Amino acid sequence: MSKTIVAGTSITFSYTYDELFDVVSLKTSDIAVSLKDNEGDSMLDDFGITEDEQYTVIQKMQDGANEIFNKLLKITNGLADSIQISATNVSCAIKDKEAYNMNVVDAIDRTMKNALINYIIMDWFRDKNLQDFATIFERKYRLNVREIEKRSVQLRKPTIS
Amino acid sequence: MTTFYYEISNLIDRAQVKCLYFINNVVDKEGNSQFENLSISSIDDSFVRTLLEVAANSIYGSLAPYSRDLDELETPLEGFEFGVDYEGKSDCIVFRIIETEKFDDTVTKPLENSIKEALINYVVHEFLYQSNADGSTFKKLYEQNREDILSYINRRINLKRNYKLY
Repeated sequence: MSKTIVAGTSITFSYTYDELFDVVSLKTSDIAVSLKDNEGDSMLDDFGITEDEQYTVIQKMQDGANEIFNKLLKITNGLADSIQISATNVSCAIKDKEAYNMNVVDAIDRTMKNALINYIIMDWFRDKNLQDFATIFERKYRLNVREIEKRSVQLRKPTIS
Repeated sequence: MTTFYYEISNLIDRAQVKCLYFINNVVDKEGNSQFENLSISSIDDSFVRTLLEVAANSIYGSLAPYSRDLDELETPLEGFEFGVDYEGKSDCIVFRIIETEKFDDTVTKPLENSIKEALINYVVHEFLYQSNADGSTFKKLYEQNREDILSYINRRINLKRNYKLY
């Protein structure tokens, strides 16, 4: 999770595969360890995300980034290649209108990371046909997106002279 | 003579902020916010300029009776100009009026403010309308501003009857 501000020009939110993988792996493992099969054995191997699922996680990270960053598309006008999506990193640059509270930028940065994590886990549980968990993480993801949109007002408004 | 001038970029910024605060609580049936659909951003600048020009022309309709004598000045002037430089500010909307003898100049500032608010409210209303959203609140505000403009510009001091009431 990081943000880079070039005053008066751009704010870039950036997230690496490694940092997102660490969290989704930990969270899904915590859930999977409590899921038992018919013989009472843990289903960690079936439902926990491990390095074996690298390509699945990359795909979901890219899908999630595409969906989340599109919510800010209108404030990317004038910035070339503002959305970057690769296998190792996703980032979104928006225009810096310099009319915000710095703490709001930090809050959006944290919420974007949470949204990406919740999106990956939601889609993972959907793939695994664990609908209850998918629904829980979908709700979390939607709440994150709403918070990003709500807070983005501060980033959208220009400085009035 | 009184000149009212407004920087177009400043008017657009104010319209953007006003529109943003209004749509802050607008959501679709699924609870999704509408910032991407309804907010005014720099992408919309050329469209917003055309809206400002329409509004400015319309407002000038109310001020025009007071700008008739401008072309008889030593240096003839226009009553209304759009997108011109004025007093070191670039890209402005300029209105000029010649006050009548009994014009109440205490309303000059409120008049200036009403013109500005009318321009902004018209832009926000029309932008929301063209985006298929209900911006009727801003239409009402615009209409109120237009009434205020008429009321201020027609205000006079020291009006005395020269006839007796029986």
